[in-house]
Amino acid sequence: MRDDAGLVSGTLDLLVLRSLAWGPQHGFGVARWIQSSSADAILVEDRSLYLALHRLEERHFVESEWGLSENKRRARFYQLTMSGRQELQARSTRWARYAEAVARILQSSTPPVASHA
Amino acid sequence: MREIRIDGLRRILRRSASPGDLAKEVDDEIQFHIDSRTAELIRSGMTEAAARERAHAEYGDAMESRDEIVAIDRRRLRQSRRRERFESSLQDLRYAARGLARRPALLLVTTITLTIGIAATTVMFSVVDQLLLQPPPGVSEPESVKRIYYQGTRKGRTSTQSVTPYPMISKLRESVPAFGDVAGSFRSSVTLGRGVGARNIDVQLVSGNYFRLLGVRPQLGRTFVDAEDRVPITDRVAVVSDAFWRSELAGATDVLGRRLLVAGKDFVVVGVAPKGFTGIDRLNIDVWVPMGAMATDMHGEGWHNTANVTWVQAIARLRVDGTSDAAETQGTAAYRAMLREWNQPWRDSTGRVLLGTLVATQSPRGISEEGKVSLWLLGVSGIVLLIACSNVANVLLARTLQRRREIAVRLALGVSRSRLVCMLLTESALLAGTGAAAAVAVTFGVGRLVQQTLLPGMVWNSTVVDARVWGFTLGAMMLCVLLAGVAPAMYGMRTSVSATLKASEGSSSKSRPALRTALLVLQAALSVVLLVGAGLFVRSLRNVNTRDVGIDLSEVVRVTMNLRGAGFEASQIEDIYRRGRERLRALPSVEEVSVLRGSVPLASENAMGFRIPGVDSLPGLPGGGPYGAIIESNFLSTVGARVLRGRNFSMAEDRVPTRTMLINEMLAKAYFGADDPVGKCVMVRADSVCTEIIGVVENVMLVSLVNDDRAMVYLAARHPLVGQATPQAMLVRAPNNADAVARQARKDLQQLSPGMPYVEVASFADLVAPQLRPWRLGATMFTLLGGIALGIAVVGLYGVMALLVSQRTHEIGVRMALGANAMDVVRLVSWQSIRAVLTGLAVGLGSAVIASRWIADLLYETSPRDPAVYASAALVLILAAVVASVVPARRATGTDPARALRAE
Repeated sequence: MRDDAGLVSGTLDLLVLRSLAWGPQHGFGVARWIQSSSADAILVEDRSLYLALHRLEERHFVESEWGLSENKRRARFYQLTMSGRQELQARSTRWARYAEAVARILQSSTPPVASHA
Repeated sequence: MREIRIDGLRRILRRSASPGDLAKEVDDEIQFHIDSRTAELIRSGMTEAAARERAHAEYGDAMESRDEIVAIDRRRLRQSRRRERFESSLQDLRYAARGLARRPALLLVTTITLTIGIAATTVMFSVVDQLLLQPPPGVSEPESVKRIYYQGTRKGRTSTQSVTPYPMISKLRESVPAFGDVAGSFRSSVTLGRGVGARNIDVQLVSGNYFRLLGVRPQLGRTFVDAEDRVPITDRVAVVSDAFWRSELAGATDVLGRRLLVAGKDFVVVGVAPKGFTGIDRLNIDVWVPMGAMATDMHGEGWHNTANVTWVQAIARLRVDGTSDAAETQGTAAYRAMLREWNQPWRDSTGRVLLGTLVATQSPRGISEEGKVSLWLLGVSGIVLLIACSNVANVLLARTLQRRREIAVRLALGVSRSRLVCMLLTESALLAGTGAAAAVAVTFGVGRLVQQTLLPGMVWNSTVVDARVWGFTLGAMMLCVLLAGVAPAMYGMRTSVSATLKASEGSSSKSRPALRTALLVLQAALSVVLLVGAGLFVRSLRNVNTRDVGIDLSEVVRVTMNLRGAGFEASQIEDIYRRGRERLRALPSVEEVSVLRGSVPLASENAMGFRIPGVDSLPGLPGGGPYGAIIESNFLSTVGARVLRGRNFSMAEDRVPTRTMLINEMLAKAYFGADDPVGKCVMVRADSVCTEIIGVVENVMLVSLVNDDRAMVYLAARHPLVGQATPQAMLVRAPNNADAVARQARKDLQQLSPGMPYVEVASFADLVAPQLRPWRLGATMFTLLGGIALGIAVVGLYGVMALLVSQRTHEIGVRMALGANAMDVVRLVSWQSIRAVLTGLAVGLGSAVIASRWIADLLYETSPRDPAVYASAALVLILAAVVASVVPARRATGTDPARALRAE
């Protein structure tokens, strides 16, 4: 069983946006890309992925259109909008800063100072 | 090039998305995912069944997520539809604005006509609203405050009075359980200050509980207490109005305790009434005083227990559990009990008490003449608005017809009809909105001026445009949008795509413009109704103005001085009048000065007992009386009245006591019929010796310009019976310069004595002006609005004609080429619209005959069916219509046939 319990909230949106930065992609493609680029380290439940896609569409970060897949089947393709691109930029920066901060704490060697209040 | 927007195109090409489609799309999407994953797993070596099961498991709960996703998509769809709608209305607005901006003249004319229509109705509404619909400002819980009226029938005439002797008030207070309290009031004009600086103010005598009953709290100090309206009065106190406080007392906060000399007596200011409160009649009041402080001077010692002076106006507040019906029943019982006690034969002992509200529409005496005229004017402004709206409708309709190809293209491209109607309504909304905004601005600017000009002397609310007026304007605007927009919108709904696209530009003029013709008929009809109304009022005004009332109104000035009220003795009064007469005689352009005692025209009526020896009882007179005045021999020449029979008093009779009298025509007819009264000897008052009638004079106005059927007795100046009667007034004949004489006379007479009260000097023309007001109001406003209506209708007619001509350029060109002469073409083109106007004229004259019945009682000696008025109204309309339609038609004859034909 795969699960996404380990995913920090908002991270899924970020990953989906990032996957669409390469160009229009259908849901299945997004799932594959996330799985392969994390070397199977992050497993996303498919239904959560689709919920995320539709939510992002509601917020106008992505827009969808029906097209033909690689093997000529009708598939729904998602594509970043202008504001989606900006959102990806902002979230990536925020995420990097956050990850760096967490990493710094984890690597710290000074013990906490006892308070004298 | 015509601009065609194809905003429908994008919508057709975009995938349709109904709620049902949404669910299907989500299912397809999930199915695609499962299939793709299954295929992937099969490629990695699984059996198909296992692969599919695995794919499903990896996906998670498909049903639940599907519903959730569909919900998200629905939300998104709803939002985007809302935004689309908003964007399209913005687009419509921009488009309409651009379209109208391309025709600035059209935009200007239609906006101006709409503005006039809306502004006229709005201003008249503000008048009617405050005059008839709103309770007076400042009164708390006004609906439970009632005005008390007394209705009685004597000699077949039913009359409703609003005043009563004072004791009735206490009687009603004690004997009507349904009343919580009853208060009395009396308004009068008195002198403030004395000598040269004296001036007139409006004072109201009120019972001590007056302010308490109305729930009016002073902004400074106190109001009155019950003890203060009883006699004898020890301290004279006064409450001043907010306006008086601000102008006369400089709004000083230490005003309490300040002394005012009111009607010759010292009053101490004890309070300032709240802003906006001016009693219950919307009349100006400067100072309130308790009855006890002034009633003795005005109505005599016994004012509080005599039944002989009728002067108090009563109001009552119903108890919480009291009803008007109960109060009227109980009040009538108390009223009759009081009448039995008084035992006065001239009152109807079976009379009734009636209650009216503070709102003037519900008075048992009916709406005032001013109120009626104002209501009519509101109606008339409504008609002007209607004409303006139909004008806009006509213009928009013409635009819509010009754009029919564009509309058809839009329809073909998939624009929904409802969307199209919205688009067409946007234009009328834009015009009406602009008109309404301008109208509110106009009302802000001139509303107060109009109110004050229409009804001077009335106290208006401090804000001209209040919430109610805003609401009314908004309503008028919505009405315009609908009236003006509905015709083009209907056309939009009916347009057939294929027929219009196939049709060529010129061919559509063959379709009967029935709607436009109907609008022309309507405009002509409404204009004619207004013109007839204007004519009737103008005629009435002229009839009133040219009426012979026995006084040459613009040549005679009346001087009244309330010397007795200012504390002068009889001998001093005679002296002041003697010196006053000398001063007046010295003024250039003064021809005569005559001193008058007893009754004074438009000031006071004194009844005078009258008996014909040998006749037991004389019939009652329609106007009461007879009334008596004591005149000098030059009275008749001063006012300009004639002796009809017998002779006038001689100069000798001004000095030597004689028992002689004149009577007026009314009295001669009522008491002597066909007999010649001259030479008859009659008894006056309690005289023991008879007085000889030496002449009959024409009726001289006493109380009003019209319906003044008073029987008069004029006694000689030194009639032995006259005794102590002090002079009441002086009449001055100044034929060329009455106004200047009046101004100078006031200045001179005010200096006669250091203790002079305010000297009231006015020409009779000014004194009767308020009585003329309903007719003057009707005549000016009907003429003004009728003129505007006609103007708007003519503009509309011209516009329609110009359009018709431009549409038929081709046809006209052909006719001219085939040898038609210019006259034929003019006739051809203008006949259609002139026929519409003639139809409207017939409809309008018919409606006017019916409608004028309702203004019959506002007219004076003018038949509501006066043929001359109807004929002139018709003539004016026909002339206007001919001018408006022949001018564009004549232009058409200038068309060069070659060019018109090439245009095809």
